[in-house]
Amino acid sequence: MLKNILIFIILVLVIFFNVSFLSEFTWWQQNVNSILIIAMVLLLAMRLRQYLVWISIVGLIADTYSGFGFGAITLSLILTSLIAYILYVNYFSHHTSLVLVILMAIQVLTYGLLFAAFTRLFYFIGFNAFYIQINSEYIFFIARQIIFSCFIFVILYVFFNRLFSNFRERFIINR
Amino acid sequence: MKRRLYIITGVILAVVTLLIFFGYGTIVKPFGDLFTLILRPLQGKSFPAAQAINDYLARHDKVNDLVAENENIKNDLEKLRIENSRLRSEIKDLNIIRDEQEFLDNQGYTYVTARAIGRTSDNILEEIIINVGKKEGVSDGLAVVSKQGYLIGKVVETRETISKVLLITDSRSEIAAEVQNETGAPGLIVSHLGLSLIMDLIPQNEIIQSDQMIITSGLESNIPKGLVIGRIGSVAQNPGDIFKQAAVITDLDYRRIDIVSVIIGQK
Repeated sequence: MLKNILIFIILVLVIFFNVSFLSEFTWWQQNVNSILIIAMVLLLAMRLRQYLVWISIVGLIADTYSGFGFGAITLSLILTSLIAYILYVNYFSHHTSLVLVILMAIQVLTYGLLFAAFTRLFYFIGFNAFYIQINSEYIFFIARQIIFSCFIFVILYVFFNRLFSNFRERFIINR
Repeated sequence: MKRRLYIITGVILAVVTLLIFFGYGTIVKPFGDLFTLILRPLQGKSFPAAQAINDYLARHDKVNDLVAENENIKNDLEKLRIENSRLRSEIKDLNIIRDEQEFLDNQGYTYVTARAIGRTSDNILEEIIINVGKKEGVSDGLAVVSKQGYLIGKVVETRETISKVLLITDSRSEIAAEVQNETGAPGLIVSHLGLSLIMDLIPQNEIIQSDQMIITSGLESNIPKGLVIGRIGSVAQNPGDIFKQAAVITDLDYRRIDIVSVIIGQK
């Protein structure tokens, strides 16, 4: 129970930090998808049911501060996380560092496309006044996010997995 | 194993979808409002702190550019002072150079002062989050002005304690405006690649010049007439076209917005 409360507080603080501190730095806001970095950490640290429940909670919190229709981030995140989980367990079975980076890249791409699709759906049914157009500008936006989100993830991965030996066993659980 | 995966995913997706489409007003929204109420004071501290750090980094970055920029700002200020003297005599009820409260009080606007506490989490829209909401009388579609009296955007979503403001620099923003020339040339303020503003759909026969002021036209129901947007930079016209465009110059830095006012109505 205490562990769950702690995880909830950490996730809330991370999203709050992203919305009310890091968003002021244009480079970070334009090039890094913090929510997917959180999702990747949860993928490595939790089992399936916990993972999907916490992903849903992260999505709902992020949707509170989203400019698009409520639910677009949550639904995109759940489906992206599901795809990432299936790939991680069934296809990227080596679980090497390179695999994690590739998985991060796939997540960013999948999330970008799903998010655009959901905003279009929500616009169509009248939930929101805006939607994302998938044009060259948006493709470049996703490409930048892939590069820099993977870069930030690698830094975090090295920091937690190499420098703290007591995290090493916990950061990637055995499946 | 696969079956377990599908069952868990299906249940979670079903619960979330039901919450989003049927439970938003009764279950999710109250939690969200409570959540934003708890976090609002923290956001009020952390966002200005981030702005201060950003300002510090920007100040120490390029000294030579700052010196040149300072000279340009001094020249622009002088031009604006001259412009101000000319326009004061021409416009009846509009105070060009305004401190925030002095301008709004002169125009008889009722307003709510707010602080920017964050930006939206989608990383795509140019939207800021301000620390006032329905409790303070804010509703969707209201105009938001900066401390210099410039229109910066409009409210697009209101919750109990916070609101989201779509900046006019977002590519999805469109503001009905007019040029302060003899005929009040109409046009539409749109963002150009998310970096600058242009005034589009100006009729070809309208005569407009650089440095003429652009104000809101009052055609939108909640945005009063006369809010300053900027001034005309260059004009792009093709004789064969029905409309022409003008670049809009504004001295406001849309990445450095802290204190704003939401115009609720007119007294």
